[in-house]
Amino acid sequence: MKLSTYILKRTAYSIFTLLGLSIIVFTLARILPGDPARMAAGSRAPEWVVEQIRHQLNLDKPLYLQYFYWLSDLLRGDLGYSIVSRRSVTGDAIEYLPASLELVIVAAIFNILGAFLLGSLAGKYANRLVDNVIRVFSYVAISIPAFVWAIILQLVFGWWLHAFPIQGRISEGLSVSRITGFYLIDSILNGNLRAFLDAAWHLILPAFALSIGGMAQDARIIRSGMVDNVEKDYILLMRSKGLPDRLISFKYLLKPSIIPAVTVMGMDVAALLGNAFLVEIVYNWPGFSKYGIWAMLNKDLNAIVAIVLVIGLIFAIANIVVDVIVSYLDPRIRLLEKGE
Amino acid sequence: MARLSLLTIDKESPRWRSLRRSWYRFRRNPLSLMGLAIVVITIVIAVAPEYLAPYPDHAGYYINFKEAKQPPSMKHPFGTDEYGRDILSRVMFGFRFSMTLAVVVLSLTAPTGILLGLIAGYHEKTWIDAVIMRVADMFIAVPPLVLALSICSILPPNIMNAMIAVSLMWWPWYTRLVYNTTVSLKNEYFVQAAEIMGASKFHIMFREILPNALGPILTKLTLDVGWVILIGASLSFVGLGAQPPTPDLGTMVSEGSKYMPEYWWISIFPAMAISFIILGFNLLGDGIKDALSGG
Amino acid sequence: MPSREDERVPLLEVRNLKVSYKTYRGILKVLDGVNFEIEKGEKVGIIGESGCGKTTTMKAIMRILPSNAIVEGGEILYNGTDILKMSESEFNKIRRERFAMIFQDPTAALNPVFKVGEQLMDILRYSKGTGKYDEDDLKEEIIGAFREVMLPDPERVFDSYPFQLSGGMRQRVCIALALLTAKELLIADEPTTNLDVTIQDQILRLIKDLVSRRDLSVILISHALGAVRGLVDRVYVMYAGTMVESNEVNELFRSPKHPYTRALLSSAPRLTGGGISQGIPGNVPDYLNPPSGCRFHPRCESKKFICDIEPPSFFSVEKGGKVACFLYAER
Repeated sequence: MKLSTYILKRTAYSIFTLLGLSIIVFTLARILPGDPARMAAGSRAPEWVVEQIRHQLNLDKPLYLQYFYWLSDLLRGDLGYSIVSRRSVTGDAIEYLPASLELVIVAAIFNILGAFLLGSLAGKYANRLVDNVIRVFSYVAISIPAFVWAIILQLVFGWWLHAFPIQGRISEGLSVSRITGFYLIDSILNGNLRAFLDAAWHLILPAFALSIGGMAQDARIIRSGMVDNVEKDYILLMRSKGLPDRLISFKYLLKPSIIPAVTVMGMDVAALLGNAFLVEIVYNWPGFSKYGIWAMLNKDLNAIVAIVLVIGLIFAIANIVVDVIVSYLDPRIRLLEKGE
Repeated sequence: MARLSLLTIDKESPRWRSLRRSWYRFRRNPLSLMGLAIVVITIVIAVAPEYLAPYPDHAGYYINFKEAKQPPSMKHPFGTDEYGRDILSRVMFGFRFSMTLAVVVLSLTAPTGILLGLIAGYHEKTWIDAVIMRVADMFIAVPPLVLALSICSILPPNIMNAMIAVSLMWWPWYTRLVYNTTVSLKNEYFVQAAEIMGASKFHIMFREILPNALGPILTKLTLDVGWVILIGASLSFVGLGAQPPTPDLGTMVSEGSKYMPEYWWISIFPAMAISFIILGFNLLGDGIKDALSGG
Repeated sequence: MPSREDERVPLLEVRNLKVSYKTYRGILKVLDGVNFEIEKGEKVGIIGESGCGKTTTMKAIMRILPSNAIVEGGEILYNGTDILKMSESEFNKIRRERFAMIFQDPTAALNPVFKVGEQLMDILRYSKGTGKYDEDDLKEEIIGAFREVMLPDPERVFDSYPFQLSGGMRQRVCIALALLTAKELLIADEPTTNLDVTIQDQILRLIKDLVSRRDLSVILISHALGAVRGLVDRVYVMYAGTMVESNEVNELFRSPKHPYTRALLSSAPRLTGGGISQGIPGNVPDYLNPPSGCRFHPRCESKKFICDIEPPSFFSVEKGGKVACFLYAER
């Protein structure tokens, strides 16, 4: 099938899945013990105040109606009100999301670049020292959880070596007026080179901690792909016809070798989005995850539901992008879909 | 009439021989053996920390400020924490918590997930398939950690609820795995032959299809122990799982982070312990995968 | 038929080639002194069981041996020059412009994630030597070659991915490619073994037809004796890493000399004539610890005292044949 059809199909499917997810999460949040209206009003508020709040929040209506109201609000971009902070969740989301997205995107770039580099090195010098060193590093890197990496890197490179900042997105005294919320972009748009460098410097440790697990995992996959494929007949054929080494390595060997790694990158994104929660805590990063943890610890149900959905949406989009890339790289996937 | 029964181990049967071959392959790989060693150590410590830990009562309520925040030494190889508790002992008890979580979660989710996957796969393209897999997809739609955190936050924070939260989001992965295997095997000759002979659906699912999926399932189970422990530790790190003073590794890392960098050992040793366990199960799981897939 | 002047310097001559593979179990001494030659325009077949080293020899000629292979000794002379001693770039020129190989498994021989046309264009471009070539011209050439190998709808094949074609079509593509880019030597390594029985004959006949119209040297490898018979002038029989016999094809089938050849030919089932075919007693040699002297001696009925001491050289017999067996030493 054509690429555009494929994208449409996947998008429709994701929307459907997210809707289902929203029902589940919504229901879970609503049926649990505890009275959100009371929590919003405060324990000392009189009963009539609580009733009013209950009415305002639609909590006195049947469940399906509540869902309907909630959903229609959602589609209009209104994620509801945070019971605890009394601000609109949408507003909070817009404020905190870019910090996390910036971190995750930079981590994803590290992940991809690192995996390519390490994977092709290990593949090219298979079974020699470089390969074995990378293999040991990979096992260790994958096994150490992201938040542990975060702590270790912070300890070693932040506290002990003073090479990188311990926490935060930017040093005190520097500020960047917000246009997109991405410090790297905004600082350039502001013409503030110093802020750009400073923000980048702050990004390095957390992004690296986030990316190292996936990097190692993907490097191994790329390496084994290359090792498997280098003896395949289609490469031998090209070598037998004297095609230049560069052409073979970087075009005809590389493409089939990275496909298994790209397929796994969807899971990498999941890991990045999930682990960001913890890494942000370690580095005191003012991002979505920090907001989320705060919401979770305070039982701010509206915020929690909204956060889950936003992350789910980002994840769905990322998955579609990954799927599109994979189907571009490997035509068998989109052309062989179920009995074609 | 041949019965592919799991219970009769015929020494000459191809299945037994291939199992033995897998074992030889496994034995030859030093990394797999290392993984096995680590896992065995972990299990031993998890089962009997009372006998192995130097200061078993430090695992509960214990305060001794004179001994607090001591760096690693002969008396306390991992140092002591802010209450004077021996970290090595607490780490050992922490192993028990982690392994318990993994065992409970996996014994709940794996059978459920596998069963659902078999049913969905066998009834491919019917409404049964659609319902089961769509629901599974919904749980997979959100990154595992996020889902676990959110479910956990809705419930009161304790280990039990952490286990429930993790279980709720874990089963779909088994369903997916088994579903794919079932669907691909469904049209193989041996299944069709069984159908023609009038075998019941149960027989086909459990006696014909399931044995063929056991390899990937076993690999996944092994690797999953590490992942479940990781998620459990992440939950407690955030404060949503085990609560102090229970010696859970994640909680210890989180509590200890307040004392960085001067008293780094309070966080680092529990963190290393988590990594150690995960490393062991990762190596073991990879070893099983390589051994079964034919080196 | 090759002319008398060409007989002096064969197109390709393999002399005493020894190749081993390093494996974690030890060193596999696969090729133990292969002797082989082919003249310009000659069609030669190599027959032998699986694992006897046919493909290894061909890979050595094309210099595409795997990284764990070691060439322990010997020479491969192309028009008198040892290609094993050439630099990579020197030899590239030769294999781009003059040699081509058809692989056994057409599915494995084409890169699955690139379109057929694109792969062939790149190969064709380099086979023409340095210089710029118009893409449309290259494409025309390829489509023309597709027509010659009787591919239906050549334009569509050009734009397809390999998995969209049938096994027979893929092999035709590979044959087309080989014919486009082989000016002097074509190696066909079991070109029909992996195909459906029903089209094996078709493909073989196609190859025969195409090859007969060209002045091309062809090495055809097969473990199917009949396939070789219709296509080649001369045949080599290979066993366990050495050539044991070579002769003009009909003569070989009429009067096989080497004990292995005899056993091989008599063990092939026939459509006519009675009797159950006997296998050859014994096992294929273990390349880790190959037999000393003649590698066939453990299974040979006519083994003599000297057979396990020294490997026999290629002794000449009547009608231009050669046999590597001490039974024929005095001639």
